[in-house]
Amino acid sequence: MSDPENLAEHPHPVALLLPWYLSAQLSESERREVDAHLGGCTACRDELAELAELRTRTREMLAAAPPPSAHLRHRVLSQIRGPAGVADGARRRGLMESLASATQWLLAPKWAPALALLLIAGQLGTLVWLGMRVDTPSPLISRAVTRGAVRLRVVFSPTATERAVLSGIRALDGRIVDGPAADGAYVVELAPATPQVIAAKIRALREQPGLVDRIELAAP
Amino acid sequence: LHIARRRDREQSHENCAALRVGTEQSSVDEQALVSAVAAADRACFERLYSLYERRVFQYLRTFVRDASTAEELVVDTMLAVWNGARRFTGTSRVSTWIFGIARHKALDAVRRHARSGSHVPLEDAAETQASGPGPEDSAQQRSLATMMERAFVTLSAEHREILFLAFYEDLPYPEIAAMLSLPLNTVKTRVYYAKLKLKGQLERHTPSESPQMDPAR
Repeated sequence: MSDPENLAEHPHPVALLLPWYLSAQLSESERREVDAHLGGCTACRDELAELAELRTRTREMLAAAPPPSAHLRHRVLSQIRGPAGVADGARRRGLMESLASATQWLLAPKWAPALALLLIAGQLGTLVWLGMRVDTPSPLISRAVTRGAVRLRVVFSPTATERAVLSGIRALDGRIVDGPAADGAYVVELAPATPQVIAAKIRALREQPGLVDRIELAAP
Repeated sequence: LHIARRRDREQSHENCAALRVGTEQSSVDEQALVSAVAAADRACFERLYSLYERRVFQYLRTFVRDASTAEELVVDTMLAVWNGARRFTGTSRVSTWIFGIARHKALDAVRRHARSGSHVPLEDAAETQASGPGPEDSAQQRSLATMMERAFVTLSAEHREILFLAFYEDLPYPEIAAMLSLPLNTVKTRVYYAKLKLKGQLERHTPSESPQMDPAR
């Protein structure tokens, strides 16, 4: 708004109370102050008369303004569904109060032992269920054959450690793609290489003491 | 607790029944109505609605001149009254509370329209509508009320609002200040300047042959 929001230039600040003096909305002390001022100030009496006229005309104009359409009342009241006294809001409140009552009833001390037993039974049931779950991994893990790769069927020594087995496979530059079979054989796939290189790798694996019982070429 | 609630509810219903036969309304009666509405008394809500429908509509039209938009906002406001009656603390007049709700709804609508890029912002619609007397209007056809209306709609939304609250609703200035979140002195000066603007517009819209306000004032 462009109007100044203070009235420092107004010679009679008490005149600012005149609108509420007219509507009898001042406190007793304010009313007395305005009365006292009006008694000796012609300008403020004129201001009061002007205000009274504008106020009356404003009230007449607003009172004569067109009312809202006739169906507005129905629009509002139709959204307040339900019988008198029990509408949407009340129903919502009623539901919340019912829930609160039910919770209070359930948490009453007399139900504490039963709730505790129920909780313990639930925990036991969960534990039993988890204990009965047996993970049965598939004995064979098949993977895709890399083009040009060589597959070896390797039976590791039963006394070989896992670390030694992994170390041997790494030395082959290969990966286990199948196994173990019934005889304990794994299928190890080697990266594509010349026959000489592959033969050298197999030889190196065989030379490791106590690691491999048998190595043979596997069908692709 | 249940007995106390039931007692409160029955008290509210009795108050509403008493109000239904009364003709004079007071803020105390209105507070009882709101208490009954808080207890989901539909009949009391209808009574409260009857008291406020037109007033809220007129108040909203100080923000939005489009009648159908104002009606939409009346619906929003009165449903908020129904749903929020429990939150009315009674520290202000019922009218201040209801007009405060209506004000928020109107300002939200104005912001929404501003964001949507409407060509005519809602709060300026009045100025556009009242851009001056049409050529077909003859001075003889204009009644004092029409001139007053023309003068009123050319005011800014802030001036229309404050004159509505102070002149029509007779709200005390501390309640207007609380409702509009303004300092007390700002409310007083805004009414003063709104009155000056209204007087100026009225003189501008008053034809020379019609009675004018005393220009010396």
